[in-house]
Amino acid sequence: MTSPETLKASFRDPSGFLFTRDGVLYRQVDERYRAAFDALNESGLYRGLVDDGLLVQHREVSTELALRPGAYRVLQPEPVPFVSYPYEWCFSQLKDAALATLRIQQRALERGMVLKDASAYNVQFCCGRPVLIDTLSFEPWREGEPWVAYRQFCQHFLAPLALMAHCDVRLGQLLRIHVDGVPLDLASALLPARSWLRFGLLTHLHLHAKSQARHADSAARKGAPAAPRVSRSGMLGLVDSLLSAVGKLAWAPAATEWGDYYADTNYTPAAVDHKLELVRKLVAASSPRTVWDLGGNTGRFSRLAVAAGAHVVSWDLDPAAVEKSYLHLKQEGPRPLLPLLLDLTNPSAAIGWANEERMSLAQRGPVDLVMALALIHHLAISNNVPLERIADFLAPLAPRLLIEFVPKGDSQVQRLLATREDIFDRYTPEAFEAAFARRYETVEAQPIRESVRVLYLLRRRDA
Amino acid sequence: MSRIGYALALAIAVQLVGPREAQAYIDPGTGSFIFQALVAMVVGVGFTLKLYWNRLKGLFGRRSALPADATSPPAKDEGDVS
Repeated sequence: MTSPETLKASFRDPSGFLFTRDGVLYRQVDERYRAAFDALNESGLYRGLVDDGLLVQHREVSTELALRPGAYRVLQPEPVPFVSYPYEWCFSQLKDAALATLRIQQRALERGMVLKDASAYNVQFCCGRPVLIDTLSFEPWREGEPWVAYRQFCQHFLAPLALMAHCDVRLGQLLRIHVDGVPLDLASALLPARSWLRFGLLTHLHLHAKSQARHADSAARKGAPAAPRVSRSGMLGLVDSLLSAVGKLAWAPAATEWGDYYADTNYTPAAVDHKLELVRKLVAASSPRTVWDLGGNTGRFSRLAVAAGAHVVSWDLDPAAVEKSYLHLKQEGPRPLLPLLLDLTNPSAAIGWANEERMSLAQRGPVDLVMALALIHHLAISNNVPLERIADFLAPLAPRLLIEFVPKGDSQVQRLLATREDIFDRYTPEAFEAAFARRYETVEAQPIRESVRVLYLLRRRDA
Repeated sequence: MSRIGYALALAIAVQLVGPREAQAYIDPGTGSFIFQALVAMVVGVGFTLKLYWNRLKGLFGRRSALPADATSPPAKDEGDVS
């Protein structure tokens, strides 16, 4: 029995906080949030949002489970299958999270409430859909009060989306550095001139940034300024304007290196079929409940693991691949699959206050099975990572590993070596098996028909 | 200043000045607050006009177009990835 503890990320909001007790997640609602919490329920807003899949559901438990004195209620929220962060989302995931936040704000206003924050970290993906997880984000709204979260919405959502759509999709990674969203003056400086011609971006980013700059010192110089008045139609118009600005942002992935991977490789149709059959069989043999598919590309093999009953996170380096996978998922309907962005040579680190607010990749594991198909040559050859180091990195992530060894005879490897010196004498099937034998034992090794590749199902030695 | 005038000025000042909800814990940003009021005035007018325009169109039997939905599938058909 571990001692109960507050979640490291849950400390800014005085209304309450998240904590775990005996491995169960709870949310303590403090007395100061009483009126707002009652309004959330009595107005029907909670029920309406939960029924539409926009807000995480919870059940109320005994206040005796509270971690600290002063609790009004203790909630047990439905846990999210996997916690992901906005810098791991593809363009459309961030856009959908933004639109969901604005829709929630509209619904709140209809019932006399408003979102008091608009952080991208308040949204998580469940079964492929964005869901607000912060039940305490709502407070009663009186006409005249400005939207406190306007700045935060523009920084967390509008700015990075505009940069991804108008400059380069990779600028979404700025969210790793700027934990409270992209500063508006930075976004304004980076956006191209044509963005000034779009009303939404001109207003909510460029002019907004100017206003921020102008008033940066004014509080110090003149004292607290008059809080301005925003009418109901003004507030509704503001939200509508933001919806329009976000809605118009689009990113069409141009052909990228991996976008056409399967059309472009040396897999014959028979090889593809055999690989599909083998993966299906080997995943089923492991009966995993949770899977990480590293280098999952557009999620073709990830979906085999979903079909086997697992919750799968499909990680890939290429924003276009993750985007395609996510858009496909939206059409398929809700299922336990989450496509996310990841650079395995520089995986998500623990960041935020005291480097404890946002968890690293490894901290969000382990899972039952890791899949590493058509991946190892990119790590060992393109990135010069020794095979032993790859095995050491993968071992703590899961007790079982399904990995495809891609030898030098393969045309993909030939392509990687085409423009560089072959210094990889130790990249051989024997060396691969020896490197991994240090950490794993082989359960099965199956060559893929009509190719030189071999699929291995490995079990970690201590598992 | 007359007492009525003073009371009026005070009433207006109380509306304009003074801290708002204690629950709002994030920093709204001074520039963002002021700017928002300006934007809200502009878009508020536009929004109200849009509402009345849609109602007018509704009277003539034409449904107004619904804005982009977070949960609707994308317009472009992605097809199966192979």
